[in-house]
Amino acid sequence: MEQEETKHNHAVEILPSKVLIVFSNEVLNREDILMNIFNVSVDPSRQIHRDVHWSNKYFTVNFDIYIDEFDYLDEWVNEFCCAEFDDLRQALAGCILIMPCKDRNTGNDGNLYKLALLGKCKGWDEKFAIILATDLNVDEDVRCRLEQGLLETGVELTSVTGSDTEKEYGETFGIQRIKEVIDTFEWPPEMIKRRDQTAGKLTKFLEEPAFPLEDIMSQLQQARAKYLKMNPGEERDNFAHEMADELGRNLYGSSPVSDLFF
Amino acid sequence: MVQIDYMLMISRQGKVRLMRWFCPYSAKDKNKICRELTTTVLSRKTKMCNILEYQDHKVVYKRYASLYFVCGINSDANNELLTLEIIHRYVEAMDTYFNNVCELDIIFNFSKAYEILNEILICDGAITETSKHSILKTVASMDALETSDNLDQVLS
Repeated sequence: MEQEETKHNHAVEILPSKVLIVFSNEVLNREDILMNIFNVSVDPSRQIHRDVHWSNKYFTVNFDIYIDEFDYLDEWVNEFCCAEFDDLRQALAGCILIMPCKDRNTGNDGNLYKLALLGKCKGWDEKFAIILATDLNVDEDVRCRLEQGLLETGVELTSVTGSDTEKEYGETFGIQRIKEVIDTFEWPPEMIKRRDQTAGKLTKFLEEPAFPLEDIMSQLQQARAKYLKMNPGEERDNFAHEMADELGRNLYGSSPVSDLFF
Repeated sequence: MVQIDYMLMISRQGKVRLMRWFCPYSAKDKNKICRELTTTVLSRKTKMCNILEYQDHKVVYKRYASLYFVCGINSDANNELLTLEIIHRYVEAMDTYFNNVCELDIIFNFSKAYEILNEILICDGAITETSKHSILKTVASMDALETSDNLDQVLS
């Protein structure tokens, strides 16, 4: 029982702080691909890159990149899913497979479907798995079937060139889609640093000019400090009134506050 | 007339990003609907029909970029095309609010996404406002109130 509890605690402690990149041995421009995804110069001959910085408009996060390669996908999947790698899988946020998807991989019994094993692996819940096809040499119907078949198993397929449908609907594909998947992964709160971000800028609907809120807040704090230092009296009251008027102008322009809402 | 029973927003990775239930469902039913519809909708081909029969009702869905908007409606009384129009209106409102909305915006501002939805659909799932301008004006007013509250906190 105690052993079980220790095991459980051990599992909880492992943060998904690594992203595994797996290249097919047929992919040659690895450095370019890694540069495009992570925007850093990554030496593909090194297998581990620590503290790669990732940022978007909402947060920044640092994670490690592990790089692996395979000759045969089915062998790699079988090895990756074995119990020996339980801890590694738990430490992963997800896995990005970079490979050409040719006819031999894409049939109903093709190698790609072996990736369904990933979904059944211990500790693979809530992780992402995405294939970046450097060359998707199949017709549209086969591609659709393949995409849907993989999605059912929790693996997404995107290609460097994008499908006709993706282009038609202006959807993200290839490297951009991979970035989106990394962005939307549920990174543990202790790993991310939130950035200040005001969600919407809807001042035009209020028919009022935009205002720099940060500046106003800082001015307010300075004003409050100054007010507290002043001696009680008329001068202090005048100062407070002036500040209130100034704040009103900054926030709501010349309109009375009540006009905004009715 | 459209009365939506529930609305789900599901990502391409199969994660439910938003859900709003306008009819009473048990927790077990909710889980079942989320799980089954995620699999069903994600596995449909792009050019398949956006309306499908599910359990005793119909499901209308539409994909926008990496997000699927899924609505459950009563088969008899509701218009499927109007439901699609409501989804589109909701997406348009969010798109304007977030200035080109993406999944990340919704993850980090999910309360805003719910607020916008609340302006479009009332608690029984009926449409309450069709004007995008009115919807956004109300949301902007709420934002202004929130800002005002923040300033009050500083002064106090």
